[in-house]
This record gives sequence, C-alpha cells and structure tokens, in this order.
Amino acid sequence: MLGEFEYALITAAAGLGDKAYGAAIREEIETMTGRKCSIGALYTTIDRLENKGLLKTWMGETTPQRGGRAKRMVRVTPSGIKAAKEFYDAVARISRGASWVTS
Amino acid sequence: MGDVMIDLLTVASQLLPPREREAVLGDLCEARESRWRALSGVLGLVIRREAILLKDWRPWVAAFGLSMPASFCLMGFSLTVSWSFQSWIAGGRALPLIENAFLLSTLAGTGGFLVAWLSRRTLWMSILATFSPCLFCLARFRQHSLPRVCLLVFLLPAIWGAWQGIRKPKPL
Repeated sequence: MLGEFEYALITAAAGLGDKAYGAAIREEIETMTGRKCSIGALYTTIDRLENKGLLKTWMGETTPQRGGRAKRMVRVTPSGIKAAKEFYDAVARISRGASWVTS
Repeated sequence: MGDVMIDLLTVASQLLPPREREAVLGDLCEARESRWRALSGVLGLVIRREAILLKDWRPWVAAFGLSMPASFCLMGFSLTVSWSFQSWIAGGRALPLIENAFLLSTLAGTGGFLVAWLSRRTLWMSILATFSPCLFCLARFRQHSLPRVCLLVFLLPAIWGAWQGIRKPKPL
C-alpha cells in the first residue's frame, strides 16, 4: 500500500494532469498539506514510485523562468491511479465511525 | 557570501546525475528559493540518494567484508614484496620477488575489481574502509629497514583493479 506522502504526490500529479512536473507538484503538495516539501523527499519519492510503475517521467521543455533548464514531467500510470484509489478506500474504511469524521 | 553559496550549490549539484541536476536546479530557480535553502535542498537530496544506496547489502560487504580486512592482509603482503625487492637489490634471487609481486598484483587487483564492481556508486565508503587500516598501520610502523610507503604498494594494483571494476557493467 502507498505511504501518505506517496499518496499526496500521486494526487497532486493527477490533479495537475499534463502540467505535472517537479516544481508544480511540490507547490501543490505544500498548498494541500500546509507543510514544506523538501526537494529531496519529492525526487526520491518520484523515483520510488516510477520504479514501482506507478508514475512515468520524462524530460520536458525548458523555460526562461527555470534558467533555461528542462522540467522533469510526471504522469500517473493506470497502476498509480489504482494504488491511490486503494489507499483512499482503506483510509475511508479505517476512518468510518471515528469521532472527527463528519457524515 | 552569495558567490560562495552559488559555488557550493554548483559543487553539490555535481553529485547528482545530469538529468536530475537539470530538473532540480530548474525547480529551485523557478521557485525562487533563497541560496541557502537551495543548497540545503540539493544536499538533502544527495544525502537521501546515498542513504537509499546504503540500504543495499553490497556497499557494506564491499567496505567491511572485503576492503577493510583485505587492506590489512595486503599491507602485510606489500611488506613481503618490499623485503623481496630489498633482498634482490642486495644480490639475492629474483624469483621470490617475481612470485610475490605477481601474487600481490593478482590479489590486490582482483580485490579492487570486486569492490568497485559490487559498489561503484558507494566507492567512497570502500575507500574509507581501505584507508582507515592504512592510516592505523602507517602511524604504528616501526620497521626501520623499510620506508613507510612500502605498506601501500598494494594500492597500485588495487586502484587498477577498481578502475576495471568501475568500467564493467555492475549490479549497483
């Protein structure tokens, strides 16, 4: 099963769609969670998820805002979507009946 | 101060693979991170990468199962070769020198090859494991007939072997 950060990363990448790349995913995670996301955690997790076949990455275009450097684009694979859904379902099942869950 | 940070960032980013360096530096530039945060981010990534490599058994076997014990043995062998050489210079037979030198080259070369082949990306750890016994023995070397550097004769074939191991496709 996915970890919490892996789930956040897949969810952020899936939400960004074709615009999912390192900096955008990082910003999205920080907005979603309200916590700082280190570049080390981001890229090691992207690699791990790619090795598991849950993400696909490739080098994208360069932009002047990036000092002419290429983006590492990310796409969630069907296996990634399935794993994220399983994680979400498990959390929903575990949380059922908890006092902080609003119906 | 700013230039120093940029230099440090450039050096630190060299520790990343080219593709990843490009993406990471671009992300940091786009996010307009402060130089200090950019440097700590890159160093954090480098440390995480090394930590992931160290989860594997191969770097540990290469460093503490091969490099460290082998360097003790090979230092002893280096002394034997040096004594054989001394004896040959003094008019003794050449055969013991040739035999010992051949054996030392083979053992050190094979050891260096194996260590590099097993753990190319964590070779720094094996180098530390090799040099720590060397420093220990160099500090306690009391043999007046030979210079201290004789202890390190094995390093030449070991480095050659390691170079061959680095060039060969490897498991890590």
